[in-house]
Amino acid sequence: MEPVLNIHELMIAIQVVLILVFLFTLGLLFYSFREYKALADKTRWKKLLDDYLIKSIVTLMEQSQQVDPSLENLCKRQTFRRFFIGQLIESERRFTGTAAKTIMNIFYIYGLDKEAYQMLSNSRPYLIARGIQALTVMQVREALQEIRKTLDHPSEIVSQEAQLAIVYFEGFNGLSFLYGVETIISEWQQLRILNSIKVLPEDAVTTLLEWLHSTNVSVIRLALKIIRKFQLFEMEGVLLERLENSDHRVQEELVRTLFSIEQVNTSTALLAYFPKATIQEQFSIIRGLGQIRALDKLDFLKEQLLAYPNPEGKVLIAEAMASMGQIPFLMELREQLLPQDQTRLVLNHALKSKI
Amino acid sequence: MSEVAKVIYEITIWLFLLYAAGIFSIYTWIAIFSYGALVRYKQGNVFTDYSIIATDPNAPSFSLIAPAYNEGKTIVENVRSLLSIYYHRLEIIIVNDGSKDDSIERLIKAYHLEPIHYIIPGNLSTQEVIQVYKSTNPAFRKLIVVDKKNGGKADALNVGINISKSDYIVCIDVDCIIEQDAVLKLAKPFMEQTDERLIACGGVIRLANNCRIEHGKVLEVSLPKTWLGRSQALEYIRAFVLGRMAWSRASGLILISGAFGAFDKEILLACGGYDHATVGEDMELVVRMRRYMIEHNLPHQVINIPDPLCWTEVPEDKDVLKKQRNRWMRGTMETLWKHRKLIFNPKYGKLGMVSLPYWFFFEFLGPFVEFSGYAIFWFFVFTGTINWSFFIALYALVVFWSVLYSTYAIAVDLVSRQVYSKQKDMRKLLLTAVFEPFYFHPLVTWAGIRGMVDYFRKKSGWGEMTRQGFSQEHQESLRARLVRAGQHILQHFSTVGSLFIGIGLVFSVIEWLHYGSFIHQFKGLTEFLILIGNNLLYSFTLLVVLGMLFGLIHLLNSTLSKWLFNLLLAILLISQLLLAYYFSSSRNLLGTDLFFYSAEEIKNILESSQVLTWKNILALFAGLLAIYSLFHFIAKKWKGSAYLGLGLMGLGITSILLLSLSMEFNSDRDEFVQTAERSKLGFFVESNAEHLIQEIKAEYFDSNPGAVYAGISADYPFLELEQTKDVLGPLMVKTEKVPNLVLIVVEGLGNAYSDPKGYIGDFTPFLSSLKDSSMVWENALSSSGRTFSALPTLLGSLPFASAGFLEQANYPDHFNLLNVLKHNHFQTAFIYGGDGNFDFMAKYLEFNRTDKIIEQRSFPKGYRKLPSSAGESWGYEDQAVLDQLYRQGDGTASPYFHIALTLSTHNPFLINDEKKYADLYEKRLQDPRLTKEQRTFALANRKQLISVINVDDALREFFAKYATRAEFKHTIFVITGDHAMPEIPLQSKIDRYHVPLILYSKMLKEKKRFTNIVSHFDFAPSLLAYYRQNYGLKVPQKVTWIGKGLDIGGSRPGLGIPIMQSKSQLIDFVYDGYHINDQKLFQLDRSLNEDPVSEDVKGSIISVRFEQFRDMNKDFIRSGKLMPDSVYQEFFKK
Repeated sequence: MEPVLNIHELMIAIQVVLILVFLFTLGLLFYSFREYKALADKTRWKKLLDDYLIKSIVTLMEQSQQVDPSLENLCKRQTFRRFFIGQLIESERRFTGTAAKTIMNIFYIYGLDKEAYQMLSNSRPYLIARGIQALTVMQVREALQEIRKTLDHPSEIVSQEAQLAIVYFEGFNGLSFLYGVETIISEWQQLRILNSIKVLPEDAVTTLLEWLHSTNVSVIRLALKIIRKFQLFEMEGVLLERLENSDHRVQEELVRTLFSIEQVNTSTALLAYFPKATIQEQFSIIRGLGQIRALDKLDFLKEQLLAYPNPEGKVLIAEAMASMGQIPFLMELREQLLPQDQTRLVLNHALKSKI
Repeated sequence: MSEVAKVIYEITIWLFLLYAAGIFSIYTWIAIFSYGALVRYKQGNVFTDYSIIATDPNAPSFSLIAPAYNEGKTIVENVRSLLSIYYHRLEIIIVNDGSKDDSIERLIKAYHLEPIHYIIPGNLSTQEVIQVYKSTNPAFRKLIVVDKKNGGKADALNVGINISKSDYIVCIDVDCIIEQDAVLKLAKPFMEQTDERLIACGGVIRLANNCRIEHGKVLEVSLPKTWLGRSQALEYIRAFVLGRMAWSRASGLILISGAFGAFDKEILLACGGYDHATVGEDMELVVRMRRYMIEHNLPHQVINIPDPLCWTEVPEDKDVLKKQRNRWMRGTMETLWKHRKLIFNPKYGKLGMVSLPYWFFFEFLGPFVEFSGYAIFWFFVFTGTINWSFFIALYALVVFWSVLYSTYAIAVDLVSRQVYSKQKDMRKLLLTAVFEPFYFHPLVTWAGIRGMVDYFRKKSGWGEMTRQGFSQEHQESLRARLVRAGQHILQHFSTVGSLFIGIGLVFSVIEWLHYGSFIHQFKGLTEFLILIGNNLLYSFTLLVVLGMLFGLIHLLNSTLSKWLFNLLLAILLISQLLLAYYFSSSRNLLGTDLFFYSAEEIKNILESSQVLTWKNILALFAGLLAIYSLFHFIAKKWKGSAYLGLGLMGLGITSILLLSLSMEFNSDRDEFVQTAERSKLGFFVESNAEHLIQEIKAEYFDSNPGAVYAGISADYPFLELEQTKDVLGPLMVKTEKVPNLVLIVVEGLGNAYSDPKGYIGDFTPFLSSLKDSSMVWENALSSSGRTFSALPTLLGSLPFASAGFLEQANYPDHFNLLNVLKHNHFQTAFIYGGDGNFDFMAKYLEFNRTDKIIEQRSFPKGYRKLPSSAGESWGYEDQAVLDQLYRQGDGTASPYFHIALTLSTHNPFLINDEKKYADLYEKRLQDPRLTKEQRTFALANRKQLISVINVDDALREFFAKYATRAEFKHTIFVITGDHAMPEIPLQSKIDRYHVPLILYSKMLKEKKRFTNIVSHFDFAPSLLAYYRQNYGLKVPQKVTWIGKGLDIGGSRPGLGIPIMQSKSQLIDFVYDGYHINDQKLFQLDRSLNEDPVSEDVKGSIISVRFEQFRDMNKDFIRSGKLMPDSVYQEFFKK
């Protein structure tokens, strides 16, 4: 039979790999050195830019900014321009008012808007996302059309950034993409969107009603969060009608939202639903009763305190009652119960953590 | 180095190379994949505004659980650090796990704690909770302190999980320093989950050693001061930045560090929380959670984020480090063992098919393999078997690879997150990468090995611990399980093993009785004891080997293992009988020969030997079934004894030791008796095992390159200038016409019965008379013990390749009598009465464009075939073959070279006109020149010798007819045997190859007898030298002859005479009056009698010569070429 490899060939193979490994190590060392230099550059630039931004904000807020020749010189390097944009985005988050305006001016006077536009047309998703972020934070409204084109970008980080940018510029109306969205919008993205909506238009309720009927549970949850954030009391009836939703996470969100826009009949309707609710939903209802101080439901809570099977739920009931000012009742009840009675332990726990 | 040691050495090297290649491949994958994961994370998070979740009421809630045991000195500061974590919906649960110090008192005092009544919502089983505390100070409202009875880290974590009211759990070591934004960064992936549920998330852990820490915060990062600490810093970078990121990206992560990891509480509770009974609770939990998700068909993910979120102090003391690594190894083993059913289970997807196998082969076996590497290295050093240049190259590769991987990790770390940003730290890290393989790595390897040992040692303590939610199988400790399995294995082994030995003994008695019926020397008690002894040695050896196989398979599947064990032992017993029968009928041991024949050839042989009958086949299967059933039945009835099993194992191991020391018993009787005394089964298994090793060696290893004899070219070791002396010319009259050449190869014609001096006597009266007017080489040797090498040796003096030259798929260009003479206008023909495809003879002859090939299928009509046995005849009788040979030369003008190979002197020795030759045999027996001993031998081999007389008579007729032809006077006849009959008992090893070599021609000036040792290899070179010198025939200038001519033969100027006993056994070599057989040295006298000698110097010289030939042959096997194309083409162009 023909041998596959002899020792001699094996030696040669090993030596070749050894040389390759050695060369690759040298290459890596060289690369590391370059990276280290880049890191050192960034550290230096960060200090330079921090000083410059502070100085600009503190001393030149009222005047038109002067171009710093050293920074202008550095701006010839693309790496620096991108780093500069990053620093401006970071700074913008920390400042508001005139200071923020100063930062925006700096963005323009160093021509960083051009760089941000260039990033929009880059092929790398993260650079496009960063470009969108920069143009959004710097409120370059003219870029909206360009940004809108990236809404259906295959990369999630680009499309999410575009969604956020549109909401940032157009507010609630910018959420029109929700009609067509099929993928789950993560909690993280929902939170960012929610933070970007400052006001609701008058016709928002109609739109929200449509979203509440979406097949995408994340859209329903976002709609509920918006209702909660903007306290749309007029939606209470609609939400009560949707109480028996199949998705438990939507259901929990719904209960929380109902308590936040609570009306006269809300708690009664929720108590009617209580026996059908899951444990987590029941916990939400109990917590909600405590939050809204539903004194009219005190009897229900008293009854459940003794009858509710789950100790965690009992603790929540006791806590809810305590928050309604029922501490004397609870203390009295405690004295009546035998030491080994679980409800007594629950009351000990609730009273200790509330008093 | 012995052949076996060399093979073991090379196999070992290859195994390590394969393992190393596996590691290199997986680490290359990790390097590439982790870089992608890091870049993706970095790009996706570079401008993330984490502050939006810090205070958001919609953000998920987290419980940070920190178990503490005797941390009194630092606990207050550590908790203060935790309280500074920036996250709104966070509760911090400190679980004091029954500390013996004043931890709880310190906490109460520092954080104004007071006992509260706390309803514990979780339901995980834990040790008793003594008291729950909360602070009266609203500034510490996030803090919950739990005091509980000691139960270990896992138990404390479970208490924390029970206490928690949050959506997610973050488990940490209390002595870790957590980055302030750690929970924010952990929260984001949980909030980003969409289709797949994120069940666990880890972050990068960095070393706090030598960092400047104030008020629970790392203010300045520095590398640890000690090499041990720095090595761990590098190791943590490799593990967290490369390893975990790659596995995270590949959805194969199964380890979230116990020092810092976040989990989905709902899934955690559903899985039963941490396992109390393992020291590797962190890995075990993740594996169990993943297992739970897969079993419930829930899409999920486990990820690692590359942000350094946690700082921990690593041991800088060797002993502490070793203890830690010991624990890690035990933890790994526990997890792998507990979840062993997942390994290679496709139902568990990547977890079962990739992640767990990776942990098994590289994380668990890694230290073991590395340690074995060190041990084997020293073994090779001490035994002198090490190839230093190879070892150094390999070691350098491993070290450089390690350095490269570490350098890569440093570079990637630099790109992703610059923790070590000081120039001096980078330098130190790089230096550490260089030195770490020599210091740190062996240390942790050793700790891992100790961990393995401790795992098995300390299992008894674990057996008492209870686990929840798993079946009995899971609850049984490994040791208990192993002991139980071991007992069961030994019991079954003892029952079936005892039976095997018992039945083997009965078979041995039958064997002895049977041999005694036809071997008169084999009737004594000594022979009986020796045969029994040898059979027992091999029986015990095979039993212990199969027993080990049985034990291994039993661990996987007990039913299959028993079935297989019983069946294999039954097959061995049946084989013992069959091989004994083969020996009794062929007088030969069956080794690897069996596997060199095609199914068709075996069928023919069996049919011709009258054994392939339905009755026999049925009897065979019935016997097999009976023995198997006996094993099965007795094993059911008798449980067996573990002690007896151990005893059998001990005897097996002793047998192996004895056999490895060549301690097979034998008497001082002749060769045949010694062969009969051997274990036939043992020989069969041993020779096949050896052959397998040789095959592996030939397949994957090569000899030292450049073994060359003649020195023309290292690429063509056999190539040399043609310098053969014409030894025949001076002894012959030169004729006008170029003489014809007729070669007659007589099947099984040994010297022992074709020469008066042979130990059986002269049973070829015609040949003996012919010798009186011929050149006779009295000490001629064939090149093998079978027919397969006769043609290539006689015609081309060719090497064997791996299993005989004819067995090669493609024949290399070479010179031989057929093509050279044909090139000189000779007509060529080959006549054989049997199947021409036997041993690929026809293929070879066709390759050489032989003008005429007559064999069984093309044999002219009107001739008689040999009598058939069981309906099958070997082919045409020798008279027919020789008649055709005679007829081929008739009327041809050009010279010719005709070859005939006879057939009738082959087992089963059936001939036509048997009575006539039986009478001649009886007549020969009356020859007074026969000694008593010769006559005894002759009587014992009657059938064989009658067939010999038959061929001799056919030769007589042939010559009588030929003598009437005109060209008779210028025709050279050469008669030889292809080998001696193995069926006729041999007196010495060399007898198997001792054949007559007769050159008869009317052109001879005088008869001549030569006593120098020559071989078939010398025939072609001398014949061509004769034709070249006397008739100006064109012969090649460069040739690849092994023989150097009949004048040199096996003497010192030659290469020596290599001889293959069978197609797989190249163990004989004759050189300078000595014979090596299977590493034993014999001295040959002028009559080719041999005596064992122990001349170390001579033996080693001959061994070197033999080894040189083997190397040349191996080079030929490797290259498949004997000479450059140009040499071959050039000759035939002329």
